[in-house]
Amino acid sequence: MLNLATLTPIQIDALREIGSIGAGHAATALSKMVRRPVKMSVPGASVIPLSAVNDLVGGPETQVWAIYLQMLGDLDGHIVFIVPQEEAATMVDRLMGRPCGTSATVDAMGESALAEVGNILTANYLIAMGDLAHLRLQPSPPMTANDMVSAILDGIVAHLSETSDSILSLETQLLIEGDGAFRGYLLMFPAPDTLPRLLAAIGLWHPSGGPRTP
Amino acid sequence: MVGMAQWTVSDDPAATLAIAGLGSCVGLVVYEPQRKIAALAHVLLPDSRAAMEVRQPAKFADTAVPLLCGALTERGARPDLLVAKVAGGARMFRSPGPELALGARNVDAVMAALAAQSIPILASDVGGTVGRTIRFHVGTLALEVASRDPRASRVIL
Repeated sequence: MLNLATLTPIQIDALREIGSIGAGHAATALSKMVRRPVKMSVPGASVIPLSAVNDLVGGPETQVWAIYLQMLGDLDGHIVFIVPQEEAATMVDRLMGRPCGTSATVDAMGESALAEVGNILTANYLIAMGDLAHLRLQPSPPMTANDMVSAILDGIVAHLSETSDSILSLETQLLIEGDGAFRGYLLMFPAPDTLPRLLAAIGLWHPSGGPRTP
Repeated sequence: MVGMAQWTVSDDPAATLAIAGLGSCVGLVVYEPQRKIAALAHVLLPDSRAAMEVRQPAKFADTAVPLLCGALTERGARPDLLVAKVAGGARMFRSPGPELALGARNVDAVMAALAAQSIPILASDVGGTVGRTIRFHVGTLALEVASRDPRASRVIL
């Protein structure tokens, strides 16, 4: 068991870099699907106390579409791709090759398109992360939800907080600008139990179990 | 606003105790109607026994109930008059997954912990597939539940 509070700045930086590489691959995949350049924000990596989880993605009651996958294999964790409600229909139009503004809301077909995109983005994220760390990772089937962001995330946070009073969040924003602009957030939550395996794979964890001091 | 695994207590009649965006979590209100003292916990998980150490007792159903009861009686509430209102415990994702049963397990655990202290549940809005924002008005003892459920976007319990 790893206490997230003991992570060193070097370890956090390395995790941010892993998140950045994963999100970079996801951004490339998204760019191919919508045939537009995709900008990526500076990736974040932070240890968040449970009391502050509500502030992720623009406030607890922000209405969003979310595509969620559990990370299975050598590491436990959770990946969520989140699109703000008002931009989800634009994204669906882009994916379907229709003029932006065609859809006012996300219908059943749009929902499966969103799920498929979430699936592809997160799969690319996992593959890049697994290759980097030489770990075998696989995504669970995608699940979608459409509600307040905090309501969607609280079950995932509960899962992560059984033995921890904070969570580790690696986050990146993907942006498509210009006509038919939309944003998406990629959030990756590695579970504390298997985090030492990831840190060990990149040489930042002692076999004895303690964090390596620089 | 009461964040995840946090709690609050108040006897100010003008106070509103609130949680924004409850999914599988449960908002647990315990109060004493005569003196109008109320406490709210944002419960994430059913059972504290898996945890090695419980630093945030509001996180778990089985530790949140005694925590709130203690805080209320410390402020002068009569233990035999305590009652509860409960909301939350939804299933947010549409297909099966590890979170599938968490909301229902949270609700069951909160109910069991209240029963163990003989605290009656006066009202509840639990389960379903929508997120909820809740506000408990200490002055009126009303629990307001807002969701995007088209049939009941705002209910007063």
